[in-house]
Amino acid sequence: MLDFAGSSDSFVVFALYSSLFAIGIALVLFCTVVYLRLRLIAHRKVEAKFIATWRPLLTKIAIHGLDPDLDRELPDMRPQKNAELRLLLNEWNVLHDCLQGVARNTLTRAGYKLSLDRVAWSMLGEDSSFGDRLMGIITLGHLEDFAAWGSIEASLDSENPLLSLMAAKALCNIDPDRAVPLLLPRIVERDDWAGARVAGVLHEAGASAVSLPLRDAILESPPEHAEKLIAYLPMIFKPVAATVISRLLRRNVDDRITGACLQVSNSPLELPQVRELARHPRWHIRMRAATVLGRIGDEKDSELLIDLLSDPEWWVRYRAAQALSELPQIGHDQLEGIRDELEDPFSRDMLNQIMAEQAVA
Amino acid sequence: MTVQDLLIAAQWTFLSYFVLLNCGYIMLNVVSIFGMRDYFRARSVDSLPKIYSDYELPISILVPAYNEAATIVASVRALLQLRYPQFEIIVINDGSTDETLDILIREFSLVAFPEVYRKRIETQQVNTIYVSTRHPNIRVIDKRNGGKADSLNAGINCARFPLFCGVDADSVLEPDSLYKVLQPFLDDPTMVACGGTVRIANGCKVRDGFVEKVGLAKSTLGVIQTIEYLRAFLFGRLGWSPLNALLIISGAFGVFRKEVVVSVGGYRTDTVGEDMELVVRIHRKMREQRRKYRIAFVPDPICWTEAPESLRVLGSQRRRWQRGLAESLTLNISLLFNRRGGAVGWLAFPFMFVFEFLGPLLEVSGYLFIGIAFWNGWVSYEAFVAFLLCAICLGMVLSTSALFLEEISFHMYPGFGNTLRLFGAAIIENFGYRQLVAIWRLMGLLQWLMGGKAKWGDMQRSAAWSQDAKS
Repeated sequence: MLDFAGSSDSFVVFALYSSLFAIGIALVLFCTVVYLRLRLIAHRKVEAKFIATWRPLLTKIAIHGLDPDLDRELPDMRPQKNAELRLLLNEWNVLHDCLQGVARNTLTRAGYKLSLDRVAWSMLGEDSSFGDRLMGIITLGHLEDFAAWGSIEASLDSENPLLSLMAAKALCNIDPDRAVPLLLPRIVERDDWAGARVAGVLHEAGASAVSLPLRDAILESPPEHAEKLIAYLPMIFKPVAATVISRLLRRNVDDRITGACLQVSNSPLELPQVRELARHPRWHIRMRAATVLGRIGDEKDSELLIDLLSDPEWWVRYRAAQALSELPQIGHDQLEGIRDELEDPFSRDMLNQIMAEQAVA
Repeated sequence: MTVQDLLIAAQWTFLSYFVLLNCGYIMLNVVSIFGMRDYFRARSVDSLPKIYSDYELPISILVPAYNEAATIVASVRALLQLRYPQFEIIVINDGSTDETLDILIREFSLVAFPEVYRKRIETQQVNTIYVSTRHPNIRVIDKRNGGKADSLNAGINCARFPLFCGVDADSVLEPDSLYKVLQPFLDDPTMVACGGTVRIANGCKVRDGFVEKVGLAKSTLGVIQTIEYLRAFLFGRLGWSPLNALLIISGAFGVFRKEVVVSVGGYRTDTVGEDMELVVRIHRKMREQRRKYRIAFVPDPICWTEAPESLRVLGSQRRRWQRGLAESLTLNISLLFNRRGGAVGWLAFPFMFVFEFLGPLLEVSGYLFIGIAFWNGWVSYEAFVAFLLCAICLGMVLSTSALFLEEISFHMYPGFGNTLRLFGAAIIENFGYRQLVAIWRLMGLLQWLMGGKAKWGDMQRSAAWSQDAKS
């Protein structure tokens, strides 16, 4: 028998101490869970009570405006506790993001009445938590507080993509004409800025502020940068976007640029270039050209699209068949006629599929 | 070396295994806490209204179905209600022998459709493709039986969008699950796959395909599995994700970049763990080709699934999982300590290999050894008790730490009663349940060694939690 009878044996001692340590940690964790749950319950009670009062009030202000009584009383109604102030900021910001025009301006005025600017400013300090800084930046943006420009601009180059994007959004809220030229080089540089969020920021700035700076940036940038910016062309005024696309397609300097332009191309002015690109050696370009022909082409393009129905790439055939069905003066009967004359079975199958899709739609 | 020396060495080996296993998980736990903090930071503006734009990536949802007549309609209806700007639903009827296809045709007004099937990945023969005349974003592929992986491959062949999401026909998704799980793809263009947290639906109230009220299963077995899932997802996966070393994305809900999956050959049809095998293979191939990529995990509870509440079905499930794990690791063994393996080849893979693949063998032999040694008088009563106590208490720490992570993050289970039940389960699972699971997993390992044909899982579902199922 091994000599494990004595408690001094190293195996037993090690196992026992490990067990005691584990039990201790498990108990501490459980007590923490209980404490956190109690805190959560208390917080939820406060939150429910707060929202029941403030959500209808803020909505009423946004819809009906600030009547004289409310205008006078609002500053005294401002909550004093930090937790409640945060809840108020959140409610106010959420509602602000849902509104436009007069209602939005009224809510901004109410924000100043409630001294939300002072609360937001206090959240921008170095010692503030990440969440507070974010909330402060969003609020000052919604309040269109010009004095906050410098502080918010400093966060534009934050390593955290969310903080920098929210700073970008706030700057667009404050002064879109000044903000957009600052943002465009960063959109190119920062791979961690998600396209959908950037689109949201540019949407906030509005087409009038974005159109010309974006046009210039695309035309003056090297292809690898321009490709990224072209994706945002649908957000600007259509004639400006059409000019940019037309010029880039004519230049035809880079397949990536050409592909990106075709994705957003929508003007009949570009038709000659698009027709040429439908015979491009790269299938991605042919596919996109076929799609564009469906949008802007005319009956003269049917032959070109019928040729593309025999393309070796499935997606080119599919888009060509779709485009063919979208051409003006090509109805179901015409499609049937085209199909019956096709010799290539792949082309016929694809056209059959598209006709069935049309029938289902 | 004497027999006594060997016995001492064996004792220390088994004890060290338990300590190392638990230390490893505690390390993952710590990483998860930081991961959770970063995740909540990144999501801190989620309360602001979401502006959906054309910049969101469209996605194809693939729903493989084999004899799912009872639940398929409710599942598809729930999928139709998901909040996301552009998605299509492709149900793949894998040669069901029940009324799955007929019900789908009737309920969604399906008509046969002359789609040009693009066979990028080899699959069993596709009989007919149907499209819904009421919902243009629903298609149904009717094909010869070939298993879940084969069905998913057929779905990939038909998918029109750059991302696809494999969903089990009986999964219950959160309404904004797509938005949440696709966020990493929007944030990082190198993202190739992303998984989300799967929770247990037993005890929850499900209405119109969505969880209306979260609750715990009535049975202790169900609650214990809730703890297991918390452990597996909250730190098992979240811990590996920041290191880009995540090896598992649950088949119940996972999003992949279609072209990447096609480029690695799609799902393997000769494994039972096709979901894990695909993820491990993607890691291996991407690293071999020196391509920049990310595989991430979203800790949000976005998918709910029914857990087995009978020991027979649970045992069968765990044996199948272990077999799947064994296949996934051995088929991609070249990733282990590969020169270009990075964190996945040098940390996650060896960890999985030692503690998950060989783990059941070591655990069961450890318990057996100490029991036999005590029975024969080779070890003292004190040593026997100390060993068991240590194994059990370390297990308790892991389970309670999962509870802690849940409480600092999503606190989904309301009320003190549920917290106490979960804590109780975290304690009692260490007295018999874990050991039983280790035995099932060992059996799974033996089944894998002996070979056998892969087939659809034999999980029997009651869907008792679903209001839809009752009506």
